[in-house]
Amino acid sequence: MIDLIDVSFQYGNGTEALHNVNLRVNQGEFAFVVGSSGAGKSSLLKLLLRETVATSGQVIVNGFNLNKLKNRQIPKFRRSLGVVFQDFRLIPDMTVYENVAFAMRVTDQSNKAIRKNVPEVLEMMNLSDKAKQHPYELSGGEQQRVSLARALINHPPLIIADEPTGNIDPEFSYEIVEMLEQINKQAGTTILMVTHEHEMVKFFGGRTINIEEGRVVFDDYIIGGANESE
Amino acid sequence: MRASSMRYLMGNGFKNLWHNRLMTIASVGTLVACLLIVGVAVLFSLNVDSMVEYVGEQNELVVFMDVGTSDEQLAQMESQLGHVEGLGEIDFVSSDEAMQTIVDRYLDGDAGLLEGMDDDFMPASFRCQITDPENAAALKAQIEELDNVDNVQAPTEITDTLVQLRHMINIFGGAIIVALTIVSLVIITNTIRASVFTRRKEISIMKYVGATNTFIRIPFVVEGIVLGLLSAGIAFLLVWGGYNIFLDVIREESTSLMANVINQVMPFSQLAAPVLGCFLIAGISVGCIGSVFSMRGYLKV
Repeated sequence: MIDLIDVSFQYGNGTEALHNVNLRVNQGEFAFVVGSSGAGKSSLLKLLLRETVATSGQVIVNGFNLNKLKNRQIPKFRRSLGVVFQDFRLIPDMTVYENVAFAMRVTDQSNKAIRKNVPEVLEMMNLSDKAKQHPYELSGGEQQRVSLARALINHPPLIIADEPTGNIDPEFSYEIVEMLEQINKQAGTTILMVTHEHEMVKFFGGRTINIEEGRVVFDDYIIGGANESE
Repeated sequence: MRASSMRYLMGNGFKNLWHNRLMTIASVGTLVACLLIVGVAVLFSLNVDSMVEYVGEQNELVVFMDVGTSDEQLAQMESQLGHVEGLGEIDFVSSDEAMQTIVDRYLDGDAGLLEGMDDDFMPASFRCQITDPENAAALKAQIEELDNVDNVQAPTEITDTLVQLRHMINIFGGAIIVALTIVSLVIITNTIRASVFTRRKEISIMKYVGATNTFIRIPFVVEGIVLGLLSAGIAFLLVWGGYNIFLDVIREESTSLMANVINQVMPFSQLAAPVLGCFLIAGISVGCIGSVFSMRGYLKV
């Protein structure tokens, strides 16, 4: 699903952001990526989304070898994954329904499919009654659910979430992670969630990859429930 | 691509125009002004061309031979002239014919006054049509060099003026068109860049969900083409009206001397198709190129 082999990445100015990273995330796994800021998390995401190409080593995502991917193949690759951002990236002058439908419209899908799939995924995210509202009328948690719905609409086998709880009140943060876990369990969608909220990772547990100074310093399963007392 | 997708993308193009309507109006206004200037230059140049052609048709070189040139030499001259490039039909006027013309035209057919004159009192001549009036002066010089030629008459003054005018119009017209094309491109690029900027968030989301570059571009190309077409249409109507008003004015003002030349001014019906064609092609291509320019840098990621 995700396979990084001896991946190094240098910025144009020579700063090394990732050093010999080896990482494998299998189909159906749920993994947290943690690390302090500047550790190389964003560089990792850029490589996985094919915003940049590794300086050396191989990056393989969903069967696409991103080192060799031609520019014209990028759209096809991007359709095989869903992305959720910290800042939601919803379009303000579109309703919730339109925001979700947008991901289908711009990938050349039929009106019929749009009319069928959008209500389904809104229902799944408990957003049916918000369909006609605009993003600014919603809470942070609700907005992130809309963005999650948009990521799910094309049924991607992999979802990459970049600090999805970063702009959300703590009580709703857990709800978002629970939803991601639910998607992971129900649909077998692989999920890679980048976060800096260690407390939350400890609470949920599971595979945790810690990146520091461009290297993977920890990659193992941790037992959840550490915060149950709270 | 699905028809529904195409409709959606085109709809977005129109939405962009409406969303930035002040920019739309400003750029259509500027484009119309550019097209008007180009249109006037083109119309002017087409008309001068047609006048040059008309004057050229009236234009002939008259080659007067030395008095006393033998028939043999005349025949030789005729064949020589036949080989000169740039000459059309050649008419030979013998001494007798020339004399007869004078008698008929100036002496009311009474040849009595000319009695006692030699038969070859009038020189024989060749009336040669010129295919391209621009060559008149050169031909005149060339033919004057031939044997037995007394002199060559060519009314080159009007032709020269018109030919010079045509050259100047072509040079200025070309410069104006190049300059205004650049201006139009800058205007369209700016306008579309504004709507690309308003939609940059959508564009980045489109990139992340896997929209192709074609999909991302289409609304903006539509926007550019519509701007171009709208401007072409308005400019065409203005040129049409303006040209007819101009024709009415010069017809009323002109003296009979100028009337012949004025009549050579082409009616708009004859010019409508090429003018509209040029405007549409210019509008569409400037629109397309402008929109592609304005997308640069936004298609990465």
